[in-house]
Amino acid sequence: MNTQGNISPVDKELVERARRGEIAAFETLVRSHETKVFSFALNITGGDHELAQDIMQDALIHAYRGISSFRGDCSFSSWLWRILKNDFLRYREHAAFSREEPDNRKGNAVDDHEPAVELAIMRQERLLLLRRLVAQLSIEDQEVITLIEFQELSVDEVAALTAMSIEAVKSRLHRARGRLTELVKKNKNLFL
Amino acid sequence: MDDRCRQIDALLTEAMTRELSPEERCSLDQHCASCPDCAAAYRALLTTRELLRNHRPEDDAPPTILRENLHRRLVEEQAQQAGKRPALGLRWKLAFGVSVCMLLTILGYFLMPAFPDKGDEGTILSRTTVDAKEPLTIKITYTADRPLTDVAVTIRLDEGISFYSDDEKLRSLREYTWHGDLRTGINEIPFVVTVERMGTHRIRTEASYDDYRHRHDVELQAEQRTVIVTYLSYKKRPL
Ligand SMILES: [Zn+2]
Repeated sequence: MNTQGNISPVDKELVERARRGEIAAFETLVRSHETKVFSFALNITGGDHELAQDIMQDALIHAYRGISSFRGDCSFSSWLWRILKNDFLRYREHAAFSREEPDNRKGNAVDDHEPAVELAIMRQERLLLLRRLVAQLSIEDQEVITLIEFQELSVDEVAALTAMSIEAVKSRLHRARGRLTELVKKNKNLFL
Repeated sequence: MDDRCRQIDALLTEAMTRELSPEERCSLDQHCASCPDCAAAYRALLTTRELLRNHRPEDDAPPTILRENLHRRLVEEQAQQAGKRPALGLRWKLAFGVSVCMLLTILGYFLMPAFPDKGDEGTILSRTTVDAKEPLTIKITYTADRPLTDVAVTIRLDEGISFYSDDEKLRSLREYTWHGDLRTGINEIPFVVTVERMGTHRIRTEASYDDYRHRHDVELQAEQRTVIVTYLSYKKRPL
């Protein structure tokens, strides 16, 4: 556990102000972390945009309410996605959450003559399919895949963000990539 | 899966984390040319790698509506905390954003001598038109000139309008009573409704405190895509 505290001085100041009830300070904080957190929300929900928004919204309100319990021993985004993760798990437990199976779409292989728009749509569909596979990983694996593969953070940055050692991040990444590869292979026909 | 396929499968996993040597690539290509199963796995993995390479971090930026909704909810949250009174006690499903969600306000005045003493049924206070498709957040605002305890605010809905909530039980309610204290100054009690049927519907709100009953009516006239919201008169009378 990194005990040096991974919160930047700017965030620290904003957290202080948010604790005193300054909405604008809280919103500024959210703004600088929202993409990483939303990326995680998208992966955790298997690419369900609407659900990801709902869960993120709830998590942010819970974060605002609980801002005084944030001690700054991890980054603000790391703290946020812990809340988001708990909200999502609670949601999955209570709501009748039936995970949609990826549809067995029989698309044509992309060829050079396909118009750009078609190609973009295809990419979106495939990305959705990939997110559904990512959602099947453990939450810990999803976290590292989101940060490194979707948010392009370096191993060092992830270590700083999550208060994990660099070695631990590396081994988790290796394991997560291996599991994702197995899932892709198992579902290879969906990528046709 | 035969032995050769197993070897290729292991090589495919390797290909995800490192560049293959020309020899490895050659044997992979050769095998895939005659084995559709391995070829499909190879293609799927290449697609995955390409998807992740083309994905930019900013592609996952949340929509701006999320910020707008958050702002609205934070303001509500702060108002509730400042008022030190319980929230509605229901987990209202959040409505959409400021852009699509009209904020309607029913003003109520308690013991405000400066407020004109109008009270006839049918007097129109104001009128506005909103989008029928979206949930409407209605805020009942009470301005009190002194702290009031044990106030009950009952919200009654006509058929054709319902409370907007995750909870099915709440959606089927026709009436909901909020109990709480009001502080000096402005107090807001928000709730969200949706119009389900065309036609004219009413929302009746009634606050009881001390020896008075305070009524406000709102009329929603829903046609096709719009709702005309009419704020009808308020009325204060002894219990
Ligand atoms: Zn094979």
